[in-house]
Amino acid sequence: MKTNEVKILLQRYFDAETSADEERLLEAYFRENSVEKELEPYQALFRGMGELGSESRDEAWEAEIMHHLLEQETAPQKNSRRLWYNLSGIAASLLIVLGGVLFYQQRQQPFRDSFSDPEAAVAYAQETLQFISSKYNKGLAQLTPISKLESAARPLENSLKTINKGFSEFENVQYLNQLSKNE
Amino acid sequence: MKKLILLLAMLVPLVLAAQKSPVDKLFEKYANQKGFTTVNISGKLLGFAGKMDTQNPATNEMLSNLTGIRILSVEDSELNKKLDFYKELEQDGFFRNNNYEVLMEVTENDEIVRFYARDAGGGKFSELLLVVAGNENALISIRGLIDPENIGKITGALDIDMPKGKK
Repeated sequence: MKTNEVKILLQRYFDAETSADEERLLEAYFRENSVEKELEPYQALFRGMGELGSESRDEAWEAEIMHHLLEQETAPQKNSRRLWYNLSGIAASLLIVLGGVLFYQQRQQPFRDSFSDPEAAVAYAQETLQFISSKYNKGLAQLTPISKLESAARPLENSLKTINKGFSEFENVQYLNQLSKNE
Repeated sequence: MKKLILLLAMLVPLVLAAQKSPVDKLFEKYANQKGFTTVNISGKLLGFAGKMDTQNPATNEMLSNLTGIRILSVEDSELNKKLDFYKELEQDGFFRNNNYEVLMEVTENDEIVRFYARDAGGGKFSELLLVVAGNENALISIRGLIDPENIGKITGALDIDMPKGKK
């Protein structure tokens, strides 16, 4: 085989485009010792491949590899199982919270209605409100005397204001007096 | 980590349950006991009031804003003499611990009515609690959004007591 042809085949080999026959050709070429210098690095590779092919199968080794492969394949399943565990845990806690909230809401309405007829209920409620209102107004009524007191005190406050104003003017007069005395 | 989440999840309802209205606890304490009468009206039933045609808009508005009315009264006269809701609640620190404000005390011949309210903000109450003591003992709790201005506007048979109208 010509070096050029080998080079082309090699190129195709490394691009994984060679057919089985072509690969056998390449192996055969490198098995011979007359290899171009620039192709020598590849000789070791193809020789090693040839040796590997002639080696006898090691069943134990293969079994171990198969075992390893199988383990790898089942690993993701384990992962998904763990995910399921987590998810169900979260779902369970959510359920507990939801249950708690519902429970709380039920407790919010702890009493049963004394009335089944809304009209009677409203009538009773109105009576209750009337009672509350009357007491409330009675309480407020006791406050009205205070507001009366306040309004009564207002004229007094006003007259006091004028008197105070007079006093402050009087102070000015005193000040003037002092000034004249000093002179 | 998972355990922690679980623990938290289990604690949440407990905390929520602890927020149950203190008045409800109070009512539960006395309900179904001999000599006590309880009347419960839920907000659902009161909701019908809004659709009903009553002459008084203030009453109507107030009723439609309520979420519940509970009344606990003492029927037994023997029990009435012994019992004093106010004293009991005060000793328990009920008003202080549950943010009840004293609104007013109305004292009449043989009756003292104490008004307590829980503030809802905006000058409104979320709950109004009346403690009636004297010849008759009663607890009246109305819940919902209560506008104090509306309370006085409720008109009815007891309207005559309003001294403001005489001025």
